[in-house]
Amino acid sequence: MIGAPQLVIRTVAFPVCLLGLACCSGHARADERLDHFENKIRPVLVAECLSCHGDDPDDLGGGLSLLSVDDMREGGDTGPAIDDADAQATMLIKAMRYDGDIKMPPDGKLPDHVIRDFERWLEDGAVDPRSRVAKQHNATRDFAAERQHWAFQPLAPATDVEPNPNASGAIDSLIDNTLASHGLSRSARAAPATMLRRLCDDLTGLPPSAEMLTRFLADPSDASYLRIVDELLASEEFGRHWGRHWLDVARYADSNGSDFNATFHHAWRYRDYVIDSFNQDKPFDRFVTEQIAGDLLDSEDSAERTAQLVATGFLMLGPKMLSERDKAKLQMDVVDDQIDTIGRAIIGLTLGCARCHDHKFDPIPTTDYYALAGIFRSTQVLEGELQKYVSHWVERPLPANDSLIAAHATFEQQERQLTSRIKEWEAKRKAASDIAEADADSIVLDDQQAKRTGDWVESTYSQPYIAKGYLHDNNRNKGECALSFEVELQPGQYELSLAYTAYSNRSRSTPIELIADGVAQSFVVDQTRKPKSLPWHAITSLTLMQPSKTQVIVRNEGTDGYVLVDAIRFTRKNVEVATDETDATQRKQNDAVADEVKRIEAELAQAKEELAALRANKPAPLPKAMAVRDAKTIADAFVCIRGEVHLQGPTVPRGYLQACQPEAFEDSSSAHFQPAMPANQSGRLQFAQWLCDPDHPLTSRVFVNRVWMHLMGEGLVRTVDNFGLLGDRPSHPELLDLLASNFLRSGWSIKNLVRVIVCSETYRQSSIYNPAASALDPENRWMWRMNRKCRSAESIRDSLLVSTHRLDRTSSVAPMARFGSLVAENVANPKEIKSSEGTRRSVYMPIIRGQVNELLATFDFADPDLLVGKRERTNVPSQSLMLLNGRWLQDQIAELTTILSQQHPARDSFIRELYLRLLSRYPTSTEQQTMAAFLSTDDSVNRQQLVGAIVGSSEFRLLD
Amino acid sequence: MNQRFVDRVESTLSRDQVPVDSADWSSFSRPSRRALLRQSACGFGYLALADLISRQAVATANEEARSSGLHHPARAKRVILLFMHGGPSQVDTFDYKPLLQRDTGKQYGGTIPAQIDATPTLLASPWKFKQHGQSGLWVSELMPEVAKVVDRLCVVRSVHSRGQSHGQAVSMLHTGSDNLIRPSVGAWISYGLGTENQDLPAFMALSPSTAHGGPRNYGAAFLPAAHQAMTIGSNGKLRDSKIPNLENASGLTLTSQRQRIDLIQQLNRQHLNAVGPDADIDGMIASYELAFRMQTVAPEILQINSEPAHVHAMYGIDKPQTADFGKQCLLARRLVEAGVRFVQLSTGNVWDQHSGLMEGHTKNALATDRPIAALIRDLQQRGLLEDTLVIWGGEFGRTPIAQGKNGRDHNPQGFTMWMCGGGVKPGIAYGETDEYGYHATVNRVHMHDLHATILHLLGIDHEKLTFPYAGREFRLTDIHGHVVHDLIA
Repeated sequence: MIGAPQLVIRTVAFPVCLLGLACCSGHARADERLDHFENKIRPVLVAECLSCHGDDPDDLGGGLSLLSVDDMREGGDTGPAIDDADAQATMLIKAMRYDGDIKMPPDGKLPDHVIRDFERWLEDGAVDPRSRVAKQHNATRDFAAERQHWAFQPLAPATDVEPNPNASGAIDSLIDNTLASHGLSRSARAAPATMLRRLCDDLTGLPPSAEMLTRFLADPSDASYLRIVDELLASEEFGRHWGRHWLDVARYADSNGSDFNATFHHAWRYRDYVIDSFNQDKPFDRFVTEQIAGDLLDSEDSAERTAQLVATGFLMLGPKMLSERDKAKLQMDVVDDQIDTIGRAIIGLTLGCARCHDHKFDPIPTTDYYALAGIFRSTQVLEGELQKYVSHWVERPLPANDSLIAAHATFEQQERQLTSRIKEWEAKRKAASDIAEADADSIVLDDQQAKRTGDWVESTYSQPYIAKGYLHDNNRNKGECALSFEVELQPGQYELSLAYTAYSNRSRSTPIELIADGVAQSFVVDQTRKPKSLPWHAITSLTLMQPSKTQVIVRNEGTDGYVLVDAIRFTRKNVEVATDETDATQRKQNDAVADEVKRIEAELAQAKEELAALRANKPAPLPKAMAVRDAKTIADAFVCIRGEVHLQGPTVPRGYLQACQPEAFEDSSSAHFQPAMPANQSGRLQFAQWLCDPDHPLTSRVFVNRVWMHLMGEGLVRTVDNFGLLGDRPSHPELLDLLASNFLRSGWSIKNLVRVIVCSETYRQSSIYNPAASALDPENRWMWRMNRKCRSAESIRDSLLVSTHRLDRTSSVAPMARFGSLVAENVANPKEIKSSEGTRRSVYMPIIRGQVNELLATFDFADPDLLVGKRERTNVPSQSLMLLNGRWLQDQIAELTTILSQQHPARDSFIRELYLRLLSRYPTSTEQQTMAAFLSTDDSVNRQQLVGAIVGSSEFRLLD
Repeated sequence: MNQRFVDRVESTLSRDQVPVDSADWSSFSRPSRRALLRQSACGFGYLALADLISRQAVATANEEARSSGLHHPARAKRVILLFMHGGPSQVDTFDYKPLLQRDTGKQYGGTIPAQIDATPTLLASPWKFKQHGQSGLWVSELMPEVAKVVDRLCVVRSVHSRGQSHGQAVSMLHTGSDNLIRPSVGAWISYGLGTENQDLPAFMALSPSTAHGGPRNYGAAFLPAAHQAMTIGSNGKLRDSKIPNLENASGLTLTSQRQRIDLIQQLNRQHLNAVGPDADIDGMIASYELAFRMQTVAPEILQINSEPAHVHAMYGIDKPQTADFGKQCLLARRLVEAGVRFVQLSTGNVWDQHSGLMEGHTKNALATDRPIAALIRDLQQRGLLEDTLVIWGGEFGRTPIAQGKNGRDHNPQGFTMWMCGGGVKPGIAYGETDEYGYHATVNRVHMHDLHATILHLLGIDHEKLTFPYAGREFRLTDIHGHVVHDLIA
C-alpha cells in the first residue's frame, strides 16, 4: 500500500508550468479542476472503465478499483495506478496509451485527446470529489482454523511400536465396528475360484496359472492362501503391475506430447526403475526421496547411482510446451508441473491452486507455493534447443563400464581425425577444381534465377549448395511444379550440368527438358545418386551453330521423391584442336590439373569410406537418463502476481508448507515456518526429507489410501489425490491411521502393506449384492461387501496373451530408439506412427502421448498427460464396438479358438478349458449344457463365436 | 467472497447434478445420476444410454435443452469450426489495408513482438481487394466464392490471442489455454449439451492434425473421456471416412454379429442374476445394444457418395484441388443435420507461409474457398444456417511485415476470424487492426471472448459451465472472457 496523500502537494505545479496547459498562474482554479473532472474524466471512467474496475467491488479487474483517486493510488495487483510524482510514467496513462503489457480499455485505444485530458487531470493534482468506498478484501483467512482439518492432524497415536502382527485382524475389527453400529455385517467369504482370480489380478494383473488354480481349489485353507499371497508378492509380475499404478500417478510417457511431441528416448529407464523398486520392496520413503532428490544422494556403487539419477525423471516427465518462446514462462510452467505433481501424488494436496492466489479452500498461501517454487527454480530441467525456439531437457550420463567409455573415447578421436582429413581434402579439391573451372567458360544459373511454377520450398538444409540455398518441391503437388531457366548462348560446344545434393529420399527420375535451337530434348536424373563432380552432375552435351536462346525446364511430374534444384551450368568446351605449342602447354597444364583433381578425389573417397566403416561399428551408446540437476544459480523465487511470470512480487525464502508443519502451529504468530535451506543446493533433498518425515501427516496416509483403493476398488478417502478441504472425508479415519502407522513401523514396506490388506476378511468377502445392506449403504462405504472392480485395459490385453501362452514378459530396452527427436512431425503429412503391438506385457509398450494404443485408450488407460490416481471407469459403446470388431482382439479370439480346438477337439473339454483360461473357473453344469447345445448347431463357426462372447462378457471384464 | 467464487462453491457442492438442469431425473433412481454421467457417459453422448432407461425423461430434457439452452435461450444448436491450421493472413484475405499497399517496402514503425523472424519491412498484399455484396465488405481475390456469400458473414477483424508459436496458439484456440492440458471447446459443449442424436457422438473432429497438440485439440482432458471427439481421417485428409471399429470384423455378417451379441447378453444376464443388481453390468448390456444400433445407422450418415452429383460439384468434390476439403464440408453438413453438436474441420497445417506466400495462400484458398461457400449455401437452403454457427479462422494471422521476399511470420496480435449463422449479425465487420493490419486496436476480441460468445450463442453462460478438477472448478474461459454482444443479432 502506498501512503500517497502527502505527495500530492509537490506534484501540482511543476509539470503544469512546463507544459503550459493551465492558463493563468500555473494553478488551475479549484472549480476549473473540478469541472475538468466532471466533464472530461468522470464520463470516461463511467463509460469505459468502471464496469470492470468498480461496479462490482467483489470482482475487480486486476484487483484495481477506479472508484476514487485514493483507490487508484492504492492500486491493484500490479501496483499503484497513478504515480503522483510522474504523470508520464503513471500506469494509468501507460495503459491508456497501450504502451506496455497492460492495454486499457481492452476493446480499443481511446482517442489521444481523451488521454491528454487524463494527463492534464493528473498534472492538476488529480482532483476527485468522489469519496473512497472501503475496498473489500477477501475476508481475512483464518489459516490456523483451516489447519484443524483432519488431514493435517498427526496420525492417531498407536500404542505399540512394532508392526501389529495381526494387522489384518485389526482391519476387520474396525470395519466390523462400523458395520455393527449400523446393524450390518460383513458378507461371507468369496468362493475360492473367485477369490483366487481377484487376488492374482490385484497383485499381478494376470490370471492364476492352471497349476495354482488346481492347487488352491484342492486346498483353499488359510495357510494355502497365505502361501499363494507370498508367491505372488515375490513374483516379478508384482512390480510390473504395481509399478504401473505409480506410473499413472507419475504421468509417465515416452514422448512429450503437447505442442512438440518430442521423443523421450530415455524415459524407459524410469519405468524400469519404478518396476524394480516395487519388486525390491524399496521402502516408500526412500522411493520418494530418490524421485525428488536422487541426484543429490550419496551412493555406494554405480548401480545405486544409476537408480538414483534415473529416479529424478519423475520431475521431468510432464508434457511441456517446448516451443514456448517466452522461456521464463516455460520455466515457471515446468516448476508448476513439478509442484502440482508432487502435491497431489505424494501429499494429496492441490498445490497448483496457489500459483495465482492463496488456495481458496486449503490453508496454502501463495507464498508457500513460491517457497517451493524457489526450490524447483533452483533445479535445472531444460537445457539446449531441439531446434530454434524449441527447448530440450537435461540428459545426464549414467555410470558406464570402463571399456565402453574407452571405446567411445577411441571412436570419437578417430572420428575427429577422419573428419578433419576429409575437410582438408575437400578444400584441396575445391582449390583444384576452381583452377580447372577458371579455364572453362562456364555460365551458372542459380535457382533464384529460375521462373517458378507451383509450390517450391526454399531451403538451406542440405549442404553444399551454390549461392544462397536451393529449391525443392517438398515431395508434394506432383505434376504441378516446374522451374524454367533461360539463357542466351553463343555458338560453341557446351556441357549442361545440374547441381543438387543426393539423398535416399530424392526423386529417382527427375525429368529435365532442354530446348535449344528450337529443338527439345528430354533427360532424366536420378537424384538419389551422388553427382559425379559434387555438386555438379553432367547431363548432356550440346553444340550450337548460331547464337541461341536456350531453355532448361525441371519438372516434378511423375517423380517419387523430393525434386531438388540448386543451379544449372553450361560449360563451354574447347572445340578447336590445339595445334601450336602454347596450346600443347595449355593442354599439359589442363591434364596436370585434371590428374591432380583425380588424385584428390581418390583420397577423399577413401577417407569417406573409412569414416563410414568407423561409424558402422560405433560402440553401443553411452547410457543416459532424463534427470535433473541443481541449477547454476540457487536462489529464492519471487511471487508471480496472479501467476503472471513477469509481474514480480516479493521474494519468498525457500521452504515448505505451513499447513503440514507441526512446529508452525505452535507459534501461529509466525507467518512463515522457515527451515534452513542450503545456500549451495536447491533444497530438494531437504524437501524430500520433510515429506518423508514419519511425523508428516499426509505422506503415509495418502499412500496407504492408494493401496487400499487399488485392492478394494475405492479409497477410504475416495478422492485419492485430494486430501484437502474439498476432498472426501475418510470413511474409517481410525483404519486409515492404523494402516499408516503400521506402514511406518514396518519401515514403509509396500509388500507388507499389501499382504496385511489382502489377508483381511474384509478383502476376502464376496461382492454379491445384499438388498438390505444396499438400502442402508448403497455406495458400500462401510464395506459390507467387496466392491466389484473393473479389470484394467492392461489386464484384459495381457490375460488374452496368457490364454494363448504368448505373453512376452521381458522388458523393452530403449523402445524409442528408432524414433528421431520428434515422434510426429509438425507438418501436414506426418509419417504415421506405427507402434507394433507385439506380445509384450502392456506395461512395456511405449506410451506415446497423443497416440496411446487404441485398446488401452478405449478401456480407460490413464491419460499420460494427467496425474491419474484413480482411473476412470467408463462403460461406453466404443468398448462394445472394440470387443466386437477390434482387429487385434478378433485376432486373439481366432488364435485362441484354433489353439483350443486343436488341443480339445471334444466340445465338453473345449468349453471347460475356455472357462478355465478366460474366467479362471470351471463352467457350471448348466453352462456346460447350454454352450454344448450352442456348439452343436455349427461347431466350427460357433466355437469362435463362443470365445468371442466370453471375451465380450461382463464376467471377463470385471472382477467379482 | 465474491459472487463468482460463491457460484463456484455452489457448483462444487452440487457437482453430482447433470449439467442439463431441466432434466427430470427423479423418474428413475438407479443407477444414480452420478453413475449415469460417469459410467454410461459415452462417446455418443451421455444422454444416449439414459435414453434406453428412460426415454421419456431424456426426451424432455433434450427438448428443453434445445429450445432454452442451458442457462438462457440458445441462438445456435450446433457448431461447425473450419480450422485453417498454420495461420492464414488477415491482410491478404478479409482485412483490407490501403496504407499497407501504399507503403510496401517501408519500415513498420509500430511495436514488433520479440522472437519473430520477420524484418520490419512492410509487404503489400499481392492480391487485389474489392467490396462485395450489399454489405460492401472487403474480400480479396483469393476468395471469390466466399465473397459471394459475404453478406452472411460476421467478420471479426480484431481477434487477438496468446502464443507466438503454433503449439500455444493452436491450443489456445481449441482449449482456451496456451500451456496447460484443458478440455477442448467441443468437449465442453458435449459435456454441457450432450448430443441431439443418440446414435452418433456429440463431438466429431474431421481430419484433425496430429501435430501441435494433436488429440489435445479435440480431447476431453479431465472431463469424462466420453466427451472427446470421435475422429475421422487425419491431417487434412478424410481418407475412407470411417468410424473406428464400426465395421464388422472380417467374416462376420450382421446376422452372425447379432448372434454373438445375443450370446454375450445371455452371459451378461447370467452374471447379473448371479451377483445381484449391478450398474456396471447393466451398463454393458445397454452399451452393446447401442453399439449395434450405431452400426446400422452411422455408416449411412457417413456415406457422402449417396449425395447427388450436383451437390458434389457444388462442394468441389469433382475437382482434385477442392475434393479433400469439399468432402469434409459436405460430411460436416450431413453430421450437423443428423444432430452432431460440434464438428471441427481441419485443413492440416498448410497455411504457414513463412515463404512462398503467393503460391501457398493461392493454393490453400483455392482448396477451401468453394467448399466453404457451398457449405454456407447448403446450410441455408436446408434451413440449418439459422441455428448452426459456422466459425472460420486459424490459430493466428500473419504479419504485415515481410519474412524473406514472399513470406509472413506468425501474428497472434491481431487477425481475422469470421462467424456465420447461429444468431450472429450477418454482413458486418467488427473491430479493427492498426493502419497496417498488425495489432488489434479497436473493439479487440480476445480468443477467450470468442469462446465466451460461442458458448453464449449456444445458451451457455461461460462462467457457469464448470467442472471440478484438482481442487477447483474449471471453465473453458478460465477466469477470462466477455461475451461480445455486438456480434449477436
